Amino acid sequence: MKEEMERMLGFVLKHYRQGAFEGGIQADAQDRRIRSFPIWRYVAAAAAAAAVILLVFLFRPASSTLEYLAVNTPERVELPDGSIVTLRPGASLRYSDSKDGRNVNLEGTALFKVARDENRPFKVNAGESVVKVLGTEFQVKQSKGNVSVDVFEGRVLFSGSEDGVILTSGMESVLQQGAEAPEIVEVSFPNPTAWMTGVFKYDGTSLDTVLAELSDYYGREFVTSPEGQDRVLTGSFFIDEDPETIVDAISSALEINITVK
Amino acid sequence: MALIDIEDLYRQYFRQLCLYALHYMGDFDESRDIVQECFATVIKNKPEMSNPKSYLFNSVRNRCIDLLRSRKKERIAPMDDLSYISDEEAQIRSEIEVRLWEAVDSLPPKRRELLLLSKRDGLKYSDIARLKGLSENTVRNQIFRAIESLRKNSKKILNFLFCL
Repeated sequence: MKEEMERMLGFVLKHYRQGAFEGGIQADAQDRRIRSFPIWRYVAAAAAAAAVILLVFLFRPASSTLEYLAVNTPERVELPDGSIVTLRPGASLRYSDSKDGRNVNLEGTALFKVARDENRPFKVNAGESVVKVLGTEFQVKQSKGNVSVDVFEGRVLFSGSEDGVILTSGMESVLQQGAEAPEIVEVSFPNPTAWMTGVFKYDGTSLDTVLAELSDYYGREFVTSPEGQDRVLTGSFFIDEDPETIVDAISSALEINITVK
Repeated sequence: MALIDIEDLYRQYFRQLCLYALHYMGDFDESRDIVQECFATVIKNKPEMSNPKSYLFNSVRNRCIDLLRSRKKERIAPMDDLSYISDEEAQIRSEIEVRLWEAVDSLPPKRRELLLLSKRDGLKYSDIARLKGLSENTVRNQIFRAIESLRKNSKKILNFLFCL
């Protein structure tokens, strides 16, 4: 019985998360509606773009390397080890594994949910950085030569050429182009995985933060008139909406002017 | 069955069902979703339940098995970290595991964090010490105490269950 108790304790500790049972039926049902909507949209988009190749699998038995590529919709792939990766459009990934470890080379941005296997660490090589995984869910983003990592659950070790940092859930770190070690930064945007969820969701978020996120996502520069600077915003927008439409909605709701540069 | 009774069932069995499903699925969020869906179905359809507890366990089990089948898993059976276990075993264990989970909940937050870094995330004592700015001895001590108090708690849990 004693040994059995140890096994049960081990099982509980392995899966333990604080507050994991919180949130009733109501809250969860609502959550699911929001999540399911963009999937439906992607299906519609996929049907419309039927002629476009969405996902390329190149299987090379000799080296047992797998390649995945997302062209114009996010792609969710299950790796042979059971890990789930969602690739942002434009991202590509090469995966190989051996009995000593699992290796991923990433170009672009992807969200990882890594299957736990203590004997075979999971490493993501992105630009000049390496992310070594000790826990489960994180995103690696590459833009303008910088690599940033957002951790949503568990822990990861994020290293540059010289030194690294251990990140836990809710933390973000950036390796600037040319830097030898990553820096821990304030989480920059409220919706780092909007490209996958399909939604920008704001709850009392400052307008500055909202516009910074939208500017980053759409590659434009949205600037508010001075009276908008200390305003906050609550609401949701779909990413495939025209950015001008989103910005118009915001400016008429808050009665301010937003200009596009 | 009135909604208020379903609420009672939810309070009483929700956590246990999540842990039960976890033995099948191995993923907490997925397990919780499955249990949520089962309760949602019960609220919607209000089925006759002569034995609500076994009704709930059956519907959670069926959902788990359906999902695993659709993924073409080779073997569909509940398991823990080490091996496959029987369905009955998973039901019995889930009841004890809920209490262990609650015992982890009630650890002092700092001690719990160190325990999880070590046992859940597999970090070495030396890494935890560096990460937290503590001495390795303190880390070892705190984790040892956390495990001691969980052991004591589990003894209480066992006594409690045997007295039932």
